[in-house]
Amino acid sequence: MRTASLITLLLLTTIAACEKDQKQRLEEDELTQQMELLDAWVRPGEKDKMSAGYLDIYNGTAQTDTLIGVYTPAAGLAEIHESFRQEGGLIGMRPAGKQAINSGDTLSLEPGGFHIMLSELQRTLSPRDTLLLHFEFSESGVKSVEAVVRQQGP
Amino acid sequence: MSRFSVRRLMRHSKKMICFYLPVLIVFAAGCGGPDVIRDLSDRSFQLVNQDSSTVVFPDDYRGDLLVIGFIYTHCPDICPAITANLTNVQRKLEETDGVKFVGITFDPERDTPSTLKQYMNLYNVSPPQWSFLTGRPTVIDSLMSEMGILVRRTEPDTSKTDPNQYYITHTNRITLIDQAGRIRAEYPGSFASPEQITEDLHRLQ
Repeated sequence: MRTASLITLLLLTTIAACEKDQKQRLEEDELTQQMELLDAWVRPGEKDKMSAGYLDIYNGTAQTDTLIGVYTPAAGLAEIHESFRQEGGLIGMRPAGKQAINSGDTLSLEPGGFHIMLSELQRTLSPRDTLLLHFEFSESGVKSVEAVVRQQGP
Repeated sequence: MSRFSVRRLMRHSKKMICFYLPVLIVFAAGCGGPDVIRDLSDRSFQLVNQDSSTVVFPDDYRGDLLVIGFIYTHCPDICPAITANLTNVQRKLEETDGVKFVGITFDPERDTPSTLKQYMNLYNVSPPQWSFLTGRPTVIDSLMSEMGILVRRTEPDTSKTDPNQYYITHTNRITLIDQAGRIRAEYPGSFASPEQITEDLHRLQ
């Protein structure tokens, strides 16, 4: 009797482990196995002044990755910043630091939230211009994307 | 006219008044647009526009509906969204005669007329329908206070030594002023719905 119970328990544990493995494999199959930089665009800005960049960063890898930094030849300084609301309809901006992105998640940089703060523009960014943005991740290394200058998002 | 007819006429008139008067009041209120929030018609602020021409605000815009965005040009995220929102309203309006779009900076030390002109060029907006205004800091402070715009200078990075590198925490606002210089509506600037602003403009046109 005890042996039968033990065998049943062993079987159930094995089935559960197989199901978990299969689920994980299915989830991993849905991943693109790469860090994807999507729909990048940047606001217009005058030389020596500021602008902001936006995009979606999709972590299609099987592990959590962290956005460490951003750089572009078009600006002297590029940082991840965040606009935040305060009481009384006030709105401010602050550096947001490194951003961890879980496997399968998307970090959206969009107006009024996280964005790439571009300071000391090396040239005037006019509508329809393009510029390269480079993103450094702790696991995926450096990924680059071409951003289009637009007055507002796509 | 018999007494009976007079009575019937009076009863009918009462019915008409009871039914139509409330309808008329509601209709009139709807046509009149949003209530007056603040009357600026007796205020006068001497400002300068992007071409360095003197502008007396709001007097010089008397007779026009004003859609005003409060911005500073060193603002990378929210203020461009406010400006873009104004352009969205302009695009949505079928009839733009009698409507002016105005940007007023709350950072007059850095936002000179020529800076404002460059900013306008980047957003493809131009006179006479558009103007961007700056002025003496004391006048701008007074105007912002009158318009209910709070402005706080912030230093995001203490390692920066350049006194010109600062950000501003500010009220996120688009304001609608009527032809008589009265504030009729206030919207959450970058998040405001262009459809709502357009609808209010239609009711005031």
